[in-house]
Amino acid sequence: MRGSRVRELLSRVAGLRLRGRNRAKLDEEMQAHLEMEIEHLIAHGLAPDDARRTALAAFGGVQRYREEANDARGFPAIDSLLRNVRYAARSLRASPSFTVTATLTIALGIAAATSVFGFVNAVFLRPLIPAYGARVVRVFIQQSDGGDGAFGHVAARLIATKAKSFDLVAEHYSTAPLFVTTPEWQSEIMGAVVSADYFRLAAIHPRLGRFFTNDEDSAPDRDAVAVISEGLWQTRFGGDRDVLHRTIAINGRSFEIIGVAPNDFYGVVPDQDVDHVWIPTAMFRVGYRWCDPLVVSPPCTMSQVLARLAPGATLSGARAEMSAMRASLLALSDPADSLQGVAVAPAIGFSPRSQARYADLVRLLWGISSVLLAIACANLAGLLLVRGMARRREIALRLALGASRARVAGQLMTENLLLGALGGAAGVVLSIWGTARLASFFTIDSEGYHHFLNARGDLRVLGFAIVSSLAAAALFGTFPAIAATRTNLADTLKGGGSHSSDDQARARHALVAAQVMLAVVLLVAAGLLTRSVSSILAHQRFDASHVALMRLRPRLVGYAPDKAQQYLRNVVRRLESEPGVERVAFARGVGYVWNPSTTAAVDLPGTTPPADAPRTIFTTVSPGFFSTLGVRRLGGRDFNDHDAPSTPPVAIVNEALAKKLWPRDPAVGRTMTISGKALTVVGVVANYHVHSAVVPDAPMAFAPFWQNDFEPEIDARLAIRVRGDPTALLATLAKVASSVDPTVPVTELLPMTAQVSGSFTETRLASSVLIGAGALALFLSGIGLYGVVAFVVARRTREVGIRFAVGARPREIILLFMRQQLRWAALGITAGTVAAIAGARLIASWLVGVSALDATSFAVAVGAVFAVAVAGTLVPAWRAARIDPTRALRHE
Amino acid sequence: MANAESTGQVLQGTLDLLILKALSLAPMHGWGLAHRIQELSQDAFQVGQGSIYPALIRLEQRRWINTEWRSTENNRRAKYYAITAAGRRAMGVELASWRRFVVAMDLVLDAR
Repeated sequence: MRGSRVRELLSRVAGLRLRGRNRAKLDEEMQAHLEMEIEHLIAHGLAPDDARRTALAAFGGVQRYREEANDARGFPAIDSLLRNVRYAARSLRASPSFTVTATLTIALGIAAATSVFGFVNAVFLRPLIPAYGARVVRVFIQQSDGGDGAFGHVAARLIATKAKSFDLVAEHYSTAPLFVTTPEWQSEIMGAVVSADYFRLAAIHPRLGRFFTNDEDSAPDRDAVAVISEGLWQTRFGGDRDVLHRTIAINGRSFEIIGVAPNDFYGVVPDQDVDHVWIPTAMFRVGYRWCDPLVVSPPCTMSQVLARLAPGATLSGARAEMSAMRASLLALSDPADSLQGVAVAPAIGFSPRSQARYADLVRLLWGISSVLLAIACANLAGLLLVRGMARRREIALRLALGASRARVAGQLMTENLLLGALGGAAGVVLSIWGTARLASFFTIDSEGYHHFLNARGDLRVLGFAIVSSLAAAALFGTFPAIAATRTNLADTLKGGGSHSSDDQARARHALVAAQVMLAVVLLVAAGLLTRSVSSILAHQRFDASHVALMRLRPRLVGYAPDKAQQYLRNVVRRLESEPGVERVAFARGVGYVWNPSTTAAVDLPGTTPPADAPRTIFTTVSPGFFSTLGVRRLGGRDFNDHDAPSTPPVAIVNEALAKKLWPRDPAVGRTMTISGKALTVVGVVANYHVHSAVVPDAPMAFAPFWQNDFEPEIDARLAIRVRGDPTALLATLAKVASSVDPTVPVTELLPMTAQVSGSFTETRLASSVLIGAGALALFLSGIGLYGVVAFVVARRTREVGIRFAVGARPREIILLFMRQQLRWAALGITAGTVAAIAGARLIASWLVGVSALDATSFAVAVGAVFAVAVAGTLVPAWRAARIDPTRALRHE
Repeated sequence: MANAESTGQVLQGTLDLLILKALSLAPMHGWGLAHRIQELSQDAFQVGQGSIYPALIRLEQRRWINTEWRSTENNRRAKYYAITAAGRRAMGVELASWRRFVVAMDLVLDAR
């Protein structure tokens, strides 16, 4: 018997090819059979008509046997799949407007979800070095705030030489702004200080020349060799092969260019600046000027460590080895960290600190895209239900001809999956743009450095899009497909059958109500964040609109504090005499100009606070700093040029610090201590820090720039108030500053508004994503409403005709249809408002200058959705009112 | 109508055996075969006439029957089916298994 099975199989394979001819033969044979039967019956005395009817009855369902024969002949699964796909394609082509709407719906939902997934993939899932995958690990000092601390250079060398778990260890400091000078140009360029094994670990080969060797990375300050990026080579050196062995000055020291990195190499910190220059760790003192990374004491921890697990080594083994080395590693890094652990984690996605930073944003984006996808799916289900109803005759006919219910449902599901595939493909294309848009929000940071958030898609993103689009189509197509095949055949074929679809009508209304609800939620969130962004950019607490910023870095070229002070005074004097410049101020060279990020112990004299008391934000500023930024002075005076080391030390506090230290009394004239030194408060300024609604105003203290010796001031950040657009003046201002000493790097040149918005990237991004999502949701809900009402109108055409015939007026007809649908929309709007009130608290930390229950945002969202609901129902209802009664009565 | 089930429907799987048996008596075309089965069973089996066609294709694929287009006595072109040697062997096997089945059923049904 086995042989016959094999033969059957072979014959089935042949059957797949010969199906067309075989079917024709079978039809011919069945036809012959029927004719013989009819002749036979006529011969037995039946009338021809009766004979025909009896013969057909005796034969049974032609279509059914045809399908069974087909199944017997080929592979039923493949065969019916192919046939279903062909049939589905034909039927989708036959109704282009439905196909386009449904495809677009899926595409938009999938594009939103895939764009966000592309971002999630980059942040959390993609291996840093794809060639080695999870074998590459980050080794770092686990800090108490969850951050990843850096090692001292000597500790990093110890890991490289001693650790047995790793066969390749790369040490890198990837955020080194290097000031590069050639005879032709000078510019600050982002670079990295790296060990020789860095290139091997990154699994790259030089585009030109070579990378440096371990020997070149062994003796401090000996081998001044540099590798440059392909981008730098093309833009600054014209892609000239003679670039090798050329000499450039980096932070004042001469380096020889020995190689060019490949084009697609972006460094090993995927959310940071793209590196363009690489120098050996032996040249660390050139790459980092604030402390000496090559010595153990005083601590100067700049080295991040990437390592590849040796063959046979495991992650837990590496962790055990690193804990064993913990004490010596920490002693060689920063003794202040001595209580921390040394962590080993696979280098997947961004660094742990960045992942923590993006976690909230990713959650929000994920939420938004899920809501959008849900709306799209609800819309799709609604469209399919309507289509199922419209096709109920076709379906009933196929069932009557003997096709099984499962086969018809399978056919409809094939159509749904085909739609899913079409929509998914369009969605993937859209998502490439979408992910790039998301990443583009991170192209500039608050210090004016260019970032490159590498969010290129990969197979994982593609897989996600395929799975989610097919799943959406399958999940949300199942009910409509089943519903469509559950029609009452007799009723449908007779042309009535509208009663059996009440459940489906209710399901459609509910789907639309759900879409309306989600649209309200998205629009409320969009409104809240948009108002936050405008409140950030409206500078309610200070005026950034006419301020240009720049950073002067005499420290990079070895200025001493005295010389730097003279230099800075000269620059300020020249800038002030420039036409268009109103006022020039400067502040300590750390963090933002307007948002100081250093802290100090600030207290009342005579008190000894506990060691873990919160430190106060503290910075040093020049006279005129507050008036330049437009910060209100609430009392006392500003600093002036008489506040010098020789005069009594003075300070200015903000309102929050004044309230904290002297809750009842005026602050001016009081004494406080900063890092133990007593200063007299001479002025109080308004709280000007911009922050979200959930963060209270932080206390801040300010001291004159040059009066104290907390830390010698060499570099400075300048704020320059100008008339007109600061962007237009940037180049001129830089030229004026350079004219004092061309060797001093002038960096971070940008309008202050860019710095402010750079500090609120997440809020801005969330706001524009939500605006887009809200508009999309509104659009989809409008389509959904329109579809349902149009369908209801079509179904009740005859009823409308009767109503007209008995004297109804058009207005009554319009109201008849609108009232019903708007009730559902109102339900959705109410539910959406409640959901938004509950959900708004979740985004409170993103809101600036606006309450989570902001009435305007809610009103605008509800108003917009209601307007769309009215428009979406009015158009088809109005059409109903124009139905010609005489034609309507003949309908169906 | 979609499922024309009726009493006296042929037991699943036995249609093949009926067809082989009928063809073992003489080669014939589909219509003749349908009538022959009805006749031999004295109309006990209400076989939907069309149901033999899928079965015939199945049997043909196992090479248990041969086919040939020929003219009928009324000069109509029809496809004639004939049993093959393999078909006869298979019929023997199926027949034996059917007999065993009937005996087993009787044993159970006659049990006291």
